[in-house]
Amino acid sequence: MAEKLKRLDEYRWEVPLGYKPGMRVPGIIYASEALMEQIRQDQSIEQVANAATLPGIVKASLAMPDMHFGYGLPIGGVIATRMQDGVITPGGVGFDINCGVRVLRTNLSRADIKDKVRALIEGIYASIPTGVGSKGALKLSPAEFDKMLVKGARWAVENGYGSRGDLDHIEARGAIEGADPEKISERAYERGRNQLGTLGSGNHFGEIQYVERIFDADAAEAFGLREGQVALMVHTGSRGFGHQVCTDYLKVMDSAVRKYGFTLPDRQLACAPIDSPEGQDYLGAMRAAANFGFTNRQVIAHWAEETFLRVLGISPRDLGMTLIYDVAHNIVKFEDHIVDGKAMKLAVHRKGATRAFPPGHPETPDVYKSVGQPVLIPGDMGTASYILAGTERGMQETFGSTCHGAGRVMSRTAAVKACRGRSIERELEDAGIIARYTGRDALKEEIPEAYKDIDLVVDVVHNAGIAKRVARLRPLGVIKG
Amino acid sequence: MDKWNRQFGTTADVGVEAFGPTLKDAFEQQALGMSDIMVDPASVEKRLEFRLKVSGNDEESLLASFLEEVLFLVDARGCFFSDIVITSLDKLTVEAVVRGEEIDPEKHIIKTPVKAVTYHQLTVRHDRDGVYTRVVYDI
Repeated sequence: MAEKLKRLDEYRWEVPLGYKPGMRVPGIIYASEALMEQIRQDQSIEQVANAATLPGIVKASLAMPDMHFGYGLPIGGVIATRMQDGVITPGGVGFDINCGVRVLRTNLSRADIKDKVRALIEGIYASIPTGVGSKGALKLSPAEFDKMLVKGARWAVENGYGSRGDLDHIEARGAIEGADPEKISERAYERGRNQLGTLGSGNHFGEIQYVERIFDADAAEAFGLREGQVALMVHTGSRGFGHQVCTDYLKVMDSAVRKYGFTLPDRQLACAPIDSPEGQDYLGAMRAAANFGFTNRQVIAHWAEETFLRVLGISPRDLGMTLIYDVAHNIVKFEDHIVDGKAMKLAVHRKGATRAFPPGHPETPDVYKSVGQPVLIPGDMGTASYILAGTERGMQETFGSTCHGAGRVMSRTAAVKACRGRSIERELEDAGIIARYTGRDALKEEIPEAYKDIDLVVDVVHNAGIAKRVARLRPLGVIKG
Repeated sequence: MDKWNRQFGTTADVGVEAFGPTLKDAFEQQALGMSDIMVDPASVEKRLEFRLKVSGNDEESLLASFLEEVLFLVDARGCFFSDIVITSLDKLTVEAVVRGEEIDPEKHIIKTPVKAVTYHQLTVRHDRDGVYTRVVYDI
């Protein structure tokens, strides 16, 4: 009889080694009792145990409170593998490589745009292509496209999208080293070449928000946040380009599993040794897709800023739109961590989990050095989003990682059914939120009830000490695909 | 026996069950079901035509490759499809003709884009009445 889940304390649950044959490390799930009830409803706990069987995994297979079923690793999963005998798995990153979030602050207060939110949302919607099949305004030659894949957000800045200072406020300065355009298939190029500068759809969005509440005055000051202030949040990734890279390499890894003689509990955890040709090729391609994601958000935010300037008719100085931070939540990176007292270089896979580096970390930007890296947590369109900061405890326990959002609880089909006879647009408007969208069911699929309670999710990571609350932001206007 | 396809929900994504008297019919129905996640097919005219040819190691991977090819054409050619016909299915190779038109947000009733075809509980099952397929799509 397999061992059962063990509750370690109020916010930690252990998936013991005896839960499933082949586990090399235990699993640790961060959740409250209430969230655990929801987590038990799909197969995500099984997936935490499956990931614990991967060769070279260290410490634990981790999962955040917003976890739900994914392909391979659950969404909300974090694993780290050793360089010498560990594996790389695309199932630990996901289809939407470098899906992530950026937040920009402004000098404006909520009252300043009270009657202009609709015009701003209409303007942003018109300037940023959204939805299925949308094409970006950027047409890059193949050679230029390759440059973009290597330089990431720096390519955008050099071509007039944003300023050089933005790069200091992006994870990895907006470009993961080691991106290799040679490892990108012709198909990924074809699928992605028209999609730079597009938002996509699903849970992706652009939102005008205001800071509703500050929890940590010091960190808020360092991030340039104050109550009532208007901010812009962009949530998107590497679009069809990244999806195709993942699809291509799942096939490569499927063969690699046979070649290297791995036995896996789930075909979608297909993997290859980090130092194998298959592992290195995926890394080269994944990094290129990650850089596409950083560039995409850089370009989109620039267009949104132009819209603010045009619609409000104010100067850049008065608008004061500056990037607080840009961070990925679907990515694998080589990082230095301490495990059992030993310093190690590890391949940290974060799939629906946000990097949250502590104060003083070399990769935490200088201006945030004393308070920790900003951690951006998009919530559902009707409730709230959060800005958190990384902590030392998170560095020690979760490889400097925390949650990434609210996490779905209701299927899209069930959500659409729950909306029968309702106007979600009207409901949002009654709550003071203007929405503009492309897909017929885009708003219905993303109704607040389809998600876990973001406040409960953030409570868990804050109280468990793996990130700390800094600010809660409420939406004023949203664009969706 | 009739051909059909229908959607079902997973936590974050959408799946399609599709059925037909033969493997060819069931594959076509699955591809039409995938297309139906993205757009109302009744709003898509058949103005453009693409031919595709894919292979697999087994029936499951053949189905996945076939669907991935159709999905690739949606993004790469910027088209929606309302007509998908397999012209040959032999020794784990599919040849098909897909018809549709360029995506037009003004004209098409656009629904939800599909990011990828997943292998999660991907099923191709032959039974007495025909062939049943089940695929979950990442949205």
